[in-house]
Amino acid sequence: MSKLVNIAFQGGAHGNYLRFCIDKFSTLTPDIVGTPFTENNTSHINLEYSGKVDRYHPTTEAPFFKNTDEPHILITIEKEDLLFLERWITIRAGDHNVDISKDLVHTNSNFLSNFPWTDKFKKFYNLDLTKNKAPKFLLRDFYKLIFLDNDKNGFIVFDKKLRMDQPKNTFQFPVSSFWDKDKFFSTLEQASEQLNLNLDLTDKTIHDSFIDRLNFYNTKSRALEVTKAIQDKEDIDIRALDTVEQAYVSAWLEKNHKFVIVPVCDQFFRSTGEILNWLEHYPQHYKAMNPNLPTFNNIPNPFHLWNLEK
Amino acid sequence: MGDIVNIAYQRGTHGNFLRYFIDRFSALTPEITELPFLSNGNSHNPNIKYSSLIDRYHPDYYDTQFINIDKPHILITITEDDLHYLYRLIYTRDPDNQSHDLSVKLNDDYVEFPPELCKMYLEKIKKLYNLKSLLSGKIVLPKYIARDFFKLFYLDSSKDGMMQDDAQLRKIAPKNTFFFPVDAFWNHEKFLKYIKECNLKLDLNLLTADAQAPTLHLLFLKNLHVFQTRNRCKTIFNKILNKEDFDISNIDIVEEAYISAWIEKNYEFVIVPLTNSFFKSTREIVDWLEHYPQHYKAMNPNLPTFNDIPNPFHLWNLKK
Repeated sequence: MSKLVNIAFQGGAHGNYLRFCIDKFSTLTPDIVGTPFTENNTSHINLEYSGKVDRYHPTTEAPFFKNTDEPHILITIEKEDLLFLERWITIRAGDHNVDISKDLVHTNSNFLSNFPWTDKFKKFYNLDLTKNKAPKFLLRDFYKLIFLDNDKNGFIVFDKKLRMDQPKNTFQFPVSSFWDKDKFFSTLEQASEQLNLNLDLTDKTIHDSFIDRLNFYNTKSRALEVTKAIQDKEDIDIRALDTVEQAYVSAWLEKNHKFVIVPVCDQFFRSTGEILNWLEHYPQHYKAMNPNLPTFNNIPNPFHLWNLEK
Repeated sequence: MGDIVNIAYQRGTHGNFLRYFIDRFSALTPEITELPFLSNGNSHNPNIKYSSLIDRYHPDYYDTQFINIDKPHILITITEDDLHYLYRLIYTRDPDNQSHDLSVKLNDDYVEFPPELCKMYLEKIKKLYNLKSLLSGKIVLPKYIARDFFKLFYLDSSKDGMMQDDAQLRKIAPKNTFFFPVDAFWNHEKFLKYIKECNLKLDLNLLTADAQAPTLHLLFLKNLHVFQTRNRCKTIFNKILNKEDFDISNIDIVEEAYISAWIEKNYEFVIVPLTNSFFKSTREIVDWLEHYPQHYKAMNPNLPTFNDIPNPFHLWNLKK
C-alpha cells in the first residue's frame, strides 16, 4: 500500500506524535480514537492507525531513506535546538528513561545500543559504562563538549546528511515547531499544502496535552537567561539548573572568556554572582589555551588541533 | 640580652615555650611556678616573671640576622616536612595579645586574612588573582582562591619564606648554636632527647631529673592547637593510595590546600577544581582521579619539577 506520507526522524524528535496528528487530522484516513501519550510522556501508544502514515528512523548509512518515491516529511534539527533537546532525549527517545541529571547516571545495554557513548566515555574518561555508573561531573563535561563544538554533535551531523540525501518530495519540519503551538499548526498546514495531506486543523487542543507532557518545557530557555544575567552582571540563583543546562553555561563561559576551564567536579556554581566572581579572579597561573575550543576569535585553535592529533 | 642562652626562632615554632622550659628548669635562674599556657594553647602568659637570662627573638625583626652573636644560641630549625602542621598552627589558631594574629577567618565561602598576613601577601595575591578591588589593604578572598594560594606554598616549598629564612639562618648561625628541630616539640621522647643534648652543649644546668619537666611537655602537647589531627592528611593520602573511602568533610582549608598540592604532585597533569566546595570523601577523589578527562591533561604550570626534571611549562610561566 503506498503511503500518504512517510515521516523520517531521529529518535526523540517527535515523529510518533506527528504521525498521530497527521493520521488523526487527515480527512483521507479514518478517525482515531484515544490519545497516544504514554506514562513516560512520549507518543508511543499503539492506536488503531490507518497504516497510511508511516514513520521511521532513517538508516545510518546511505541511502538513509526508504520509499523514496513517496511523499516525505523530514523532521530537522538545528544547533539551537540542542539545548532543549539534549535535556530530555535520553529519557524520551525509545522510552529509555535514562535521567542524566542524577548524581550517578546509570545506563543500560539497550540504551547504549542507541546512544553511542561507550567508546567515547572509555576514551575521554577511562570509564566503562557497561560496568559503571557515570558521575555527574563527567556527564556535565560530556555535554559541554557537545555545546563547545555543535558541528560534531550526532544529531547535527546526521541531520546534515539527511537533508542532503532527502527524497525529492520532502517537506522539512523543524523540530522546534513542536515546541510552539502556533508554529506547530502553521508548519503542519504548510506540510498539508505541499504534500496534499488534506488536514483538518480545526481542533487544536491535542497540542496542549503534548506540550504539557514535554519535559522541562517551563524552563526551556532558563540557561539562556543565565548567560544573559552573566553578561549583564546580574546575580541570580542557578541552583536549579540541570546537568545539561550546567554544561551549556559551562561551554558558553569557555567560549566567551579567554582561557578559562570550568571546574571538573560534581559541584557547580550556585549563582551567577559566584560565576562573575570566579571569572574576575580566575588565577593567572592557570591561563593556558583551552584544548577543547575548536576556534578562538574565529581562528582555528592550535591546541585543539594538537589535541585532535593525539 | 640572654646571658645563658638566646633562642632564635620563626613565628609559630614554639620559641616562647622553649624559653619558659629552660628558664623554669635551669638551676641558674630563679624559680617559676606559673604555667605559660593561654586558652589558645600558646605559651604567651604575660604574667610569668622571667629571669631575663634566657632571651628569645625573631630574626626577621633584624633583617633575618642574629643578635648577641657572642652568646650561646638555640636556633629552632624547620624542614619541608614540618611546613604543613606549622601552617595549620599559624593560620588556624586563635590569636592572643602577645603575638601577631596570623589566623585566617572563615565565613561561609569567604576567608578573611588578618592585617599582618595582608601586609605579607597583598601584592602577591593582587597579581595572582586580579584582585583590584581589595580596599585599604584588607584581604577577603573567596574560599577557593585562599585554598589555591596556600596550595602554591606546598607545590613549591623551595620558594617558601620560612624555608628560605631557615636556610639563611642555618648558614649564618653564631658559632655556639644548638640546632633544635621544631618537630622535636611534637614528639615527647624526641623533645626530652633534644633538651638533654642542648643542656650538655650549652651548659644550661637544666634539672632534667625534675619530674615536672616531662609533665610540662605533655601538657604543652595537650594544649597544642590541632595537634590531634596533625597527621590527618597522611591518613588521607594513604586512603587515596589504597582507594579506600574516608570522610574528609571536616578538614580545614590548610589541609585542603595540602591535599590539593599532594594530588597535583603525585598524579600526572591534573589540576584540582577551583570551587568553594572541596571533595567530601577520598572516594570522590579516587573517582575524580580515575576519570579525569583526557582532554584536560596538559602540563600543570605550577609544578617546578615533574619526574625530577624541571617542568618547562613552569619555567615558561615564570618568565611571563
